[in-house]
Amino acid sequence: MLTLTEHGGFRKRAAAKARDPVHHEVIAKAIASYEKAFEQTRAAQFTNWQQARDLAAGIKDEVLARLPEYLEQFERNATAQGARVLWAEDADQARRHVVDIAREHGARLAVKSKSMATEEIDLNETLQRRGIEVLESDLGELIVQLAGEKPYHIVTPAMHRTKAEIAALFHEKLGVDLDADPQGLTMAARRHLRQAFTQADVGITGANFLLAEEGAVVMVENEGNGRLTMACPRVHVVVAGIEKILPRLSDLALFLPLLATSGTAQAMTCYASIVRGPRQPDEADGPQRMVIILLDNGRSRLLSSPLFRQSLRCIRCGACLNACPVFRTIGGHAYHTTYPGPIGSVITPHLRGMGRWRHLADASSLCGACTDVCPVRIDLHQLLLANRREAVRGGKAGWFWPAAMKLWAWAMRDRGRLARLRDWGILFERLGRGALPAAKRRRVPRLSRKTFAQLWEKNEQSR
Amino acid sequence: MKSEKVSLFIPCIVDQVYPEMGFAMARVLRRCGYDVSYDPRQTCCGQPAFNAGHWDQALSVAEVFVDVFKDAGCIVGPSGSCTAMVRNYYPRLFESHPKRETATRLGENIFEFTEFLVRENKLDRIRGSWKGRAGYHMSCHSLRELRLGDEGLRILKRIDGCEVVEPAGEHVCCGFGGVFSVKHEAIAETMGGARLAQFRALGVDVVVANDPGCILHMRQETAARDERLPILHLVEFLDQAMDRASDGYMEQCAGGPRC
Amino acid sequence: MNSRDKILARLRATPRPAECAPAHRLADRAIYHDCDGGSEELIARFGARLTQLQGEFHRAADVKAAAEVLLRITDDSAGGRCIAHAHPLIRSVLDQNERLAEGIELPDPGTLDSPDFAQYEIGITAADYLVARTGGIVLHAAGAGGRRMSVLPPFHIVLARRDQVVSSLDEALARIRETSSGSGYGTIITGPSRTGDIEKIIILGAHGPKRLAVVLIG
Ligand code: SF4
Repeated sequence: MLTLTEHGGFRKRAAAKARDPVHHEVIAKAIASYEKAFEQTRAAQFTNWQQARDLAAGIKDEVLARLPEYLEQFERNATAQGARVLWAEDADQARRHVVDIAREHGARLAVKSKSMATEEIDLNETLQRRGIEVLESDLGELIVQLAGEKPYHIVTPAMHRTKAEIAALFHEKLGVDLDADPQGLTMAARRHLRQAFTQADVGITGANFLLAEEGAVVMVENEGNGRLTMACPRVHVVVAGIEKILPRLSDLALFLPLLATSGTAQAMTCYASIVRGPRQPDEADGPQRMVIILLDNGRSRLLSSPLFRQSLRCIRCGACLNACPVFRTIGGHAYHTTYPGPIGSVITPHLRGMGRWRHLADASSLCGACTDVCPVRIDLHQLLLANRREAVRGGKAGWFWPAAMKLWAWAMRDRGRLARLRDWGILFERLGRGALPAAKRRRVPRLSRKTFAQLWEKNEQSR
Repeated sequence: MKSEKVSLFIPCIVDQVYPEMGFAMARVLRRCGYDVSYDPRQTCCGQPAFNAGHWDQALSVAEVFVDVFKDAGCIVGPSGSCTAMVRNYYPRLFESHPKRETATRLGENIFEFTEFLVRENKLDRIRGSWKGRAGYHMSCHSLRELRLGDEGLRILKRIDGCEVVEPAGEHVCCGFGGVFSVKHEAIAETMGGARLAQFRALGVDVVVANDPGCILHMRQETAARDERLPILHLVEFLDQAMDRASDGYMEQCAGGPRC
Repeated sequence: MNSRDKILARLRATPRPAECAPAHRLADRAIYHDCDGGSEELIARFGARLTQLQGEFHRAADVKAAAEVLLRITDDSAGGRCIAHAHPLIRSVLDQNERLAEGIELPDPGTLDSPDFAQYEIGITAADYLVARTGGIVLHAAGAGGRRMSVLPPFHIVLARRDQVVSSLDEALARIRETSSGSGYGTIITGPSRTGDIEKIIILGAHGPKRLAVVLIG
């Protein structure tokens, strides 16, 4: 049978992870260490975090309000620096651009640094099918690539893996000692990739920010693999969403600390690179070609919604994932989306279709923790709520809940009807209870034999 | 002294499942000197449908709510979540609706119980005793929608012999979330278990909460595990603590009103 | 219409929010802890931050003293090959000490494209600014021996003068804008390369330098 929605699969995967105590422990530990460091870093650096969030949201809003102008400005300035700017309406066009560039340069090997935009367009699979080998250079990405998985988290892709699992994986794939510690494993990855950086024909990266006034691509990272990816191969390809624009260099004074603090609980990442074109006349080295692919892939649709355009402020810091109790419970893989967690549940239905992805918005208790941490003040839980509403209004919520809600509203509008429905409910409860397994039975709340309204009346009379 | 009037808002879960919470709140408010009234035409604020995305249904129920309370003056309810629904979301739900103004005004007159007591400076009216360690669970909507702070804790700390503890770190959701806990019960159960584990680790004798939804969910969780950790609404806890200078263990209040 | 025009047309067709806020510029002091004071304070602050990040901070009164520091720290680094950028400041330090100058290769910038960096243990570069608040080192490729010299060798040494220390990122970025507008690549280095990708355990020297030292002259 054709599955039209991901709902059933999602429920199953989510439930399986929810009942996996080992998974829970690994994630809880990782997030606890992030939370503690986050608080310290934030307090040590910012006197006014709330104002920093306001400023960031304001700058992003201004960018979004004038996005076409900023994109053209970026294109002009990047081109003046010798970069080539290409545009992609969807994943397919973006993939084709990359394949064409790789072919044009006779590329056999590409190194890549962590980039969610390339995950979004399934770039690795495409290149590999075309006979171009792709090596992930970020340690976390390398781990999931070797394991044949997708990133678990948008900032820490291998968050779900224990060091023992990684050692076993590296033992199998890279011949590393089984008892290697994180130090040994990291050095093994370093050795594994050293050659690749110099041999690769193409380096592929994402972008954290695009500076309109400078025509610059800004990329932050901690390992140095991104710098090597941009500096060593002959061709540097950047895949970036059109929402990545910041007006100018000086905005980094806010956005770099903000992203580092929310993303990895650092005051600054180890490296923040600002790239303006390929090797310039006064430079000793660097790629001969730089190509920047500006990806729409549904973003213009988000922009056209007055309510959802704020989701394009997102700087992909991952803080909302860390804060989300649902993400912590079901993990990043259950979603089957490029972007898991609250931001993913907000944007995926708009990027990839409400019909198929509406269920994501239901997987939230609307606790609002995501909204509270978002450094660019996206009203995430409000947008989840809005997705639920949109699914209902668009007739994409199935038949059961709409019918149930109609019945509920019918009863709730009138005490008398409510009382009648309630009598039925109690009857069903009595009949049905015995059929449930004991543990389940205890989970179903019992209606009180009399409502507060009934008891109050009796009570007040006797007072 | 003429006592101030307060109109009770009894959320649907209290009306249908836990009427004793409503009575406890009424008694505590009376002991604090309020003239308490209740209009039995009220049923629900509409939040279950609203949060599930069924705004038409939510609105049809909310219209009744607005009619019932339009002349009520001060309204107090034992739920941060339902209070937030009226205060924060009615203006949106009633957008371009003839009753929008009335609905918005309701939002200004409705209060969550702890918010109300602290705002009205009624803390010194509370004298009670309860020996043991109590953990306080504030609902997410109290924290993040109503932006409540330590109101509940301040009330609890007035109880003689009661040691109040709070789990460290960021506030975590108990996993209720209305329809969420029905649609995704496995996730909701694990979240509930994780929240209760935090309290268990603190060695509490009772978990006190301020939202009937959270309580419903956490009680189901303890019941499924055959665990005897009592989970009480703050109003029940106060009612009992004010009632008697109890020593030690307090029986979970399950038997309906005791007036 | 090509995809560029299609995307732009789609973006233009979306209604714009009524109030398009004027550009908010960063009121730096309002959101960050103050970081000012005299240059000595800023230097101390920079040194403390860098050390906290497990970088090394050395001070030298003049180029002569700097040469001695350099000799010491390159000596205790396993005696691997050492490459440096032919920057005037670096040259002036190397000129102070023959043994030092002998041990350090100073290729012509024009030939920098070719060296096999895998052979080098140490890379010595200049920098543009040192950021006191964050312990950051701002450099641009043309002024620092290219895009690779500061990242490929496992030990990166930065030589800088005291007047290059600035208080904040804001200030550093403002100055970059004025001075190096045409350059192709710049980077802000804040501590040695690291990763926390395995159980959040911090390991230094993931792909970039494991060791990072700043020698401040003056
Ligand atoms: S939505 Fe906000 S918190 Fe989540 S990843 Fe984006 S910027 Fe970070």
